[in-house]
Amino acid sequence: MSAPAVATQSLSRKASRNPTGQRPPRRSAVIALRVGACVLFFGGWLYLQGPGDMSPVILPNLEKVFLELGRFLTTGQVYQAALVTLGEILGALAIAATLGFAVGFWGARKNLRSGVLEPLLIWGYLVPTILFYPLFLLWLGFGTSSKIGYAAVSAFFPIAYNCLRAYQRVEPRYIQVGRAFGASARQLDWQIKFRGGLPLAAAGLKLGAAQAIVSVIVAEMLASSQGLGFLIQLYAQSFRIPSLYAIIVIVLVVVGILHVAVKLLLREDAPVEAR
Amino acid sequence: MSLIAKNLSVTYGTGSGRELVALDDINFEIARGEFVTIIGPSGCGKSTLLHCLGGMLKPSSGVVTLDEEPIRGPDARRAAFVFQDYTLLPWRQVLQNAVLGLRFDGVPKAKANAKGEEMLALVGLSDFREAYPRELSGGMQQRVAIARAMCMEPGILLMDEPFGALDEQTRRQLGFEMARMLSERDSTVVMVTHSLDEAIMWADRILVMSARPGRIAKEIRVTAPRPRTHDYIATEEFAALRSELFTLLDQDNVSDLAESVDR
Repeated sequence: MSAPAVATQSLSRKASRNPTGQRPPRRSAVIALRVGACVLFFGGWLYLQGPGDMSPVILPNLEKVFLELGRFLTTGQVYQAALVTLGEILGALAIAATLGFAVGFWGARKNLRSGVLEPLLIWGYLVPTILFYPLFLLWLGFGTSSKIGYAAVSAFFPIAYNCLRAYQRVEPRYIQVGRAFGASARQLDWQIKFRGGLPLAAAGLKLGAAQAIVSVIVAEMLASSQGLGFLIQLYAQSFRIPSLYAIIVIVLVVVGILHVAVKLLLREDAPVEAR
Repeated sequence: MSLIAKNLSVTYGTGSGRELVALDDINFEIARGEFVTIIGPSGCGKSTLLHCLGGMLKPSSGVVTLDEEPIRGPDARRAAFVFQDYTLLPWRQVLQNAVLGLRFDGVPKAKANAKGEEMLALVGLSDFREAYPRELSGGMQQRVAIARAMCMEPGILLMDEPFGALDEQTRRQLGFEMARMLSERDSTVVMVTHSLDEAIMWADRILVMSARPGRIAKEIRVTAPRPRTHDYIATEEFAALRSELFTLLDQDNVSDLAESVDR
């Protein structure tokens, strides 16, 4: 009687570990392929700027890009710009995460609330929030506040929407266990529901972080006097293509750092005991 | 000390306005230290009954009392559950899962952990106190679930097909171990199962349920002293009980039986 249930159980567990049945790749092969990709990329670049005869406006001299990068990294001006941009991103993300979590968690408690909220949040998620950026400039001015405000709004929607979904769908088994073992309403909220919904909520935070990064940089490009986005726009308009590329490299590094930070922050299995 | 279910009925309203009678006028009494198994065809309301006994579900009518005090809601110190499948919290280490009820109850960390260690030792998992549930096999996870319930030193232990998701071998092995442990501690246990062998092996008494509406169709006493060893499976008594249960659980017979109870 129990045999079929057992079979599917063990099958599905195995499947989740290794969906394709392939063996994990050898580490040396992975590294070799990555190095190969780099060689191909830079080799292709060198070919195009030399024998390929590509216009330097489209593809600047690789050496010049690295020289510019070196100059940026030694003069310090770019650090200040990176700090501004990073600060705006983190500020926006903090606001969006706090509000998004609060709205999602609160909304998920009652079907009426989530019924009203869900379509609104999806709508906010889909609307290109850049439409409202001019309003933020009018309200908050040309400085950093308008970037933070605008990016916070764009990051809010994916975070709130995913938190709403996360806390609507906390595994009922865990809630049942909480009830059976005498959790108070508060303990049920924080020690069961909050933790149970965390993986999906964290996925929302990752999307929100990506949204905040894009929003801040685009906002800086459109209207500002500082930050990495401003520098991109400045060098593009003045045709300083190697500088432009060097700034893009720096942006990629900043984004990489943020990505790692978010990943560390949301490390799975971090033994969190919320109170 | 005993658990008494009196005129217990549970009725669900279905979408189409019809009423579904899940449990119909259930009556029984369980004495201290007794091990009772509940068996019946799927959908007969075994789990519903168990949830009523533990206060997780309010019966439509009737009452459950433990030591003459009615059970009005879940209280793991009085009746603690071991649920089916994997209900350990994946973000908590084994020891932290075991002491869940104690911590919810406000027992200081050191005291709760000491109790947790003791119960983990009892189920043979002391070495895994810092592991996460996904690092354990299904059988080990259910051991932790048993330790979690035992930490509460409950008046009665309610087990809902605790080994239903395990393979036959593990299930039997774990069954013997846990049954011995519970017998030695003189625990009062109600266990829902769909395995004939389990129902007989462990029990002082078997409640056989019929389906739709769920009723107690028959009570069978198992007189052999507990804890029983593997040898018991080879006895004539076991064989006779098994064939009796087998016949009873044949769908037609169960409904016939229910009808005869009706009259």
